[in-house]
Parts: sequence; C-alpha cells; structure tokens
Amino acid sequence: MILFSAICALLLPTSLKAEKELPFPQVEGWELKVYEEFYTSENLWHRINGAADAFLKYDFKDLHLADYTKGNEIITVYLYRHSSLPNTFGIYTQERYPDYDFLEIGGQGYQSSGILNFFKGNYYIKLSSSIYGDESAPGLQALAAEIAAEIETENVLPPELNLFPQENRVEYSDMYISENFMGYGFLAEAFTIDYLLAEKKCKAFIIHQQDAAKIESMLQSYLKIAKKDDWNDDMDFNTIHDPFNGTIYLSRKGNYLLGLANGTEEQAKEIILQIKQSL
Amino acid sequence: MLFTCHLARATFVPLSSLTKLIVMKGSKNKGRRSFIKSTILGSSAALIGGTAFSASLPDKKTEEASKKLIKRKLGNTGLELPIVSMGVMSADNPNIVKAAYRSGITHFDTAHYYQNGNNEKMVGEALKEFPRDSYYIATKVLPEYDTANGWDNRTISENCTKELFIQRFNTSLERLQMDYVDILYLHAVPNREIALTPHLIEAMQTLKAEGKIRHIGISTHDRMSEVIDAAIESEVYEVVLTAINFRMKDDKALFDSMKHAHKKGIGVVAMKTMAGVYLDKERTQMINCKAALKWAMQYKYIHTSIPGMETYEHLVDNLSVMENLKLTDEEKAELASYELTAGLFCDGCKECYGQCKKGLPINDLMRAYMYTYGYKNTKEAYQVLASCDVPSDPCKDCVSCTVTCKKGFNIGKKVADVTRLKDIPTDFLT
Repeated sequence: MILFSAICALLLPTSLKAEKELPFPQVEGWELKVYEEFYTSENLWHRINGAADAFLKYDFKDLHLADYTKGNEIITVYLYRHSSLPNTFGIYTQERYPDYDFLEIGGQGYQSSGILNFFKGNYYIKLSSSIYGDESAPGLQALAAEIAAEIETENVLPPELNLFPQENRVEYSDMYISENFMGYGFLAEAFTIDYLLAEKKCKAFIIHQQDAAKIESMLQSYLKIAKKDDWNDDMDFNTIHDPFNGTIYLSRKGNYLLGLANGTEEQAKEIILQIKQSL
Repeated sequence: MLFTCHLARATFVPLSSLTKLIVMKGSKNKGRRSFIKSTILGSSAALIGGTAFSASLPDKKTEEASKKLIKRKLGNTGLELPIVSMGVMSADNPNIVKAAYRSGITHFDTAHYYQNGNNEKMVGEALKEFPRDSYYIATKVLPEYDTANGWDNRTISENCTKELFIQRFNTSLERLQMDYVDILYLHAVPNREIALTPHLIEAMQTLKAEGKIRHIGISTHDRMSEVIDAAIESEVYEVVLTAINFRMKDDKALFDSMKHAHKKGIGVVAMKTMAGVYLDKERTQMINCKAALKWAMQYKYIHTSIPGMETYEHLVDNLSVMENLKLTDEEKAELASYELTAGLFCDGCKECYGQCKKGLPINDLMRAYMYTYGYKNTKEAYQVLASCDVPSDPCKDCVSCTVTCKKGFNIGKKVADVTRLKDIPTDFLT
C-alpha cells in the first residue's frame, strides 16, 4: 500500500503529467482565481463542445482556466497547451481572421470585441472579458503581456515559414495544417501561405518529413489519386490534375514536398523556384 | 486563408460505381485498414492501384446521386434529409463541403463558436455558388454563462440577454452570407433549466418570426435525456441534436426520450456517433467508424446524423453506410470489443448521480481517479478524496455496483482502486 504510487507509475499506461507551474501570474490590481477543473483530450468536449475537434487535431494536451477580476470586469483566461510550436501556431491560425486588430505579443496575437488571443511556444492563450467592446482592451492587453512574460520561450513563429518567399505574401494568411491536408489523410504537416501575384491569389505549401520514405509515400499516394504516372523530379515542378482540388503544381526536393494551389503556371514558376532555392 | 479553388471537372460517377476502398499503407488510419475491406458498392467496382484510395465523386449534384441515399423526415419540419449529413469540422478546406454537396448531402452543420467564426465563414463561402434552396444549414449559438459555481453548475449569465443572443446569431448570418438558416440550435444545453430559459426561447421565436430561422432546435451532450424531455415539454423546439453512440447502448432513458421526441414530431439528429473516433489519447487506434455510424442510424427515430468529414475518404465511407445499414457480425464484434477500452477520464456528465446506493459522490471520485491514474498526481487525488469524506473501503458492504456509467466505466472497480489512496500516509504521495 505504501508503494501504491510507485506501483501506479510502473503499471499504468503512460500519460501526460499535470502542469505543475501554470503561467497564471499574480497581477497587481487583479484578483486571481485558478479553476480547479481542467480538461484533457478525453473531456475537452465537455467544456468547448464541438469546437474541441479542431484542438484535438493539433495534439492538444490540456486546458487550464483562470479568472482575473478587477471591479466589475472579469477576464477569463483559457490556457491551451499543445505538444509543439507548430501545433499551437496551427490551432491559432485556424481561429484567426485577417481583419483582426493584430498585436505584437508572444509569437503573434490579435484582439477583437472583448477577446484577445495569442500563442507563445506550446501555449495557445485565449482571454475573454466580461466587458464587450473597446473598453476591455487595456485590461486584456495588460494581462496578456503578464502571462506572455511567464512563458519562458521565445516570441517566434515556426521557423519553417522562413522557407517561403517574403515578397507578395498575403498578410496573416500563413497556416499550419496538421492533418488531412487538401482533404487527404495521407498528406499532413503542411505549412501554407497565400500570395497575391498579378492581382490573383494562390496558395503555396511545404510539407517536410525527417524520413524521406514518408515523403515518397505521400507523393506516391497523391500520384495514384491523380492518376499521374510520369512524375519527374528533375523538372522545376510537375502539374497534377487533382480530381478534387483542381490543378496543383508540385515539386520535391530532398525531404520536402512543395507546391502551389489555386494558381497559374507563371505563379508556380516564381514561387516554387524561390522555395527550392531556400531549401 | 481558405483553400479555395475551381473544382476540376471530374467525370461524373454515380454512387453505385465507387471503387473498392483500401486504406493507404503507412497512413495514420491503421485501425481502418483492418476494418474496411469490403467493396463500397457495385459488382463492377474495380481496384485502382491496389493500395490507393481513389474515388470519383460527382462534379455536380444529380438526381441519380440523390436516389441512392436513404432519407428520413426530420420530424414535422417538412425537411426530408439523407440519414448522413455533414458536420463541418474544420475551416481550411471548402472543397470537402462542395464534394459532400455534389454527392447528395443536403444538410450541413456548423456553429457560431467553431474556429472563432471561421467555420461559418468557410461554409458560407463553399456553398454560395449553389442554389440556396438546394441545401439546409444548421448553426448553433451558445448562451453566455455564469460559471461562479463551476462549469458543471453553470447558469445563464445576466449578460446573456435576448438582444445579445440575437446579435450573435446575426453575426452568424453575416459570416454565412445567408438571409436565413434552416435550423438554429440553442447550443450545448446541459440541463432542463437552461433549455427552458424564457428569454432565449423568445429570442429564437423572434428570429423565426422575422424569417431568419426556419426551425428552432436545441443541442446537448450532457444529461441528454433531461434536455430532450425539456424540449418536448416546451412545445417550442422542433429539432433536437443529441450525442448518441454505441457506448450509450444501455442508456434506456436516452432512448426513451428520443423515441418520445420522434413520436411528438420533433426531429432527432445524432452527433458524436463515433464516440471520439479513437480508442486512445494518442489518436493512433481508430474505431470502425462506418460500423459506429451504422449502429446509430439503425434506429429509425434518429432521422439524420452529422459525422465530421475531413477527407474525401471519410465522405465516401460515411455515404457508403446508406448502402446497407445492417451491421455485419464482424462489425458487431468490433463495437463490442471497444467496451474494454472506456478510457481513464470521466466526462463529468453526472448521469451517474443518484445511482449509488450509498450516495457516494461518483463524479468526484472519478476525478480523483483521473488525478491518480491519468496524471499520477496522488496528492491532488488525495485532496479530492479528503473533500469527499468517503471511507477507504466504501463499497465493502455492496454485493454489486448499482451505478451504470454511460461511458462504460466499471465504477465499482474504479472507486475501489482510488479510495485505497486514503490509507497511504500523505508523506509518500507525489
């Protein structure tokens, strides 16, 4: 019995450990209450219902909550922890819209009508004020800054985004798709950015795997769907007639698949070649 | 941010000619590989490649595609829907939504809250090229809650006025780029009291009178039987959206409520039919989703379902359910085998309340179990046990456990396992 805890640790399935030190700082002027209940992948639905599905795709680990109260204002902080920076960036971009009022906080953040969302390291943090409208902005920004300071990682975006050309990017269009890219279960872990060239938008994407065999498998699966049997690695790019997603320009370099969707051959020539040069 | 494109003009292939579906080697869908072996339909189906998913979905909606679908009337709403509708899960690929539409799916489910509004925006963008009267949209608006007494004891906040609710819905309409939705659900309702909140019902009735919604609905995945009964009692709700899956097969109260709703002419829509899809937290062991969906839709008083679909494979797989709803013996055995893996974590649904002869706080004890076995945080578990004030062997006088957990937990065993912690000196806890 005395060794109960040790026996548990030895015999039970490995599971994630509870976060001991949560980045909920004491902030002058605000009363802090950390919620006792927390949520994992098995009960996140209970808290955020169907919205949970999106989080689970990004290797969600746990959600802790806290209320900060000052006078009549209550700001609830939702602290979502994921397994990696790309995953927090990914879920953050799923919920981001280009029209928001963007802030330099953490890796990136924005505010709108009583909410402020940002990500930093493995955390995606959402703050929601009981006050709607612009009056909530000072409180939200102050708390967000304090919380960001508690998270001891750099204020960075995933470095993979640096592989894309900087020019002609559509601002705030960068995304990370962890699963089911373009609607295919075999395509995963894709970074994407939109570009505006000659007044036409297109979408560039990069998929990288440590294991070249995985890239080969992804490519072969895609070529079978597209019924393409003349793939040529030596070409600048190959043209794929995707039955569901239209014309895709695709290339491979080492452990990378790079492509362009919704675009023209001219756009593909410009963007895919630039990406290849950066690899 | 939206992955839009002009869909390539694929050759139309009726549902009856979809090819044999074999899961990709090396894909994450390892569970599916051992389950999905049979031809989707048609004796003329041919393998393509032998290892690749390859299906041609129609490039335009056709009468023939529509004929192949099993349809049921959604209560007295006047809507007749295929028994498989689409739960729109993510906001990054509108082509899936378009493919679903072209395959004959007519009903699409989204919510104000999903992806911070981007889900609704994507649905609106994806469907705007099609005639508005050729599909049905359901969305959901969450009330604002006061959680001062905890999430499980939440009540409607003072801020949650009729005007705020209507404002949120109007935002949804803007995002969808539509003049009306077919169903508006009061979203994720946890109990009777909230279901019958007068000013929220009034808000939805106002919207219906204005022509902005066609039918009033309520969605729930907590205390579903109670909420469905409240919906019936109200004589206002026309559609209920409820969680229902094979893990709930012993939930008699839920089945009675659904049957009662059906008899009263209320539409019944099923969600969470795949019980989370995966057996493990790491999301590597997928269940037989087709079998799970068939299980739910075998009940004729469940009129349609909204499984999430993120790949063309999901779409084809879900549609294939309508070819033959009868579960095979193999599928039945697979579903039965999942009961052995109920998981470690209590949902906190509180449906176990009142079932224990000794009045033990089952919900709290399961939380202590989660701390102990899920998080290895025995100190936290001990504190929960201490606050519960239960003895270290509370079940010793019971011959058998009277608590039935809808998730399939062996409550008696879990209570016995966790309450032993009370005998351990606190100095040894971590």
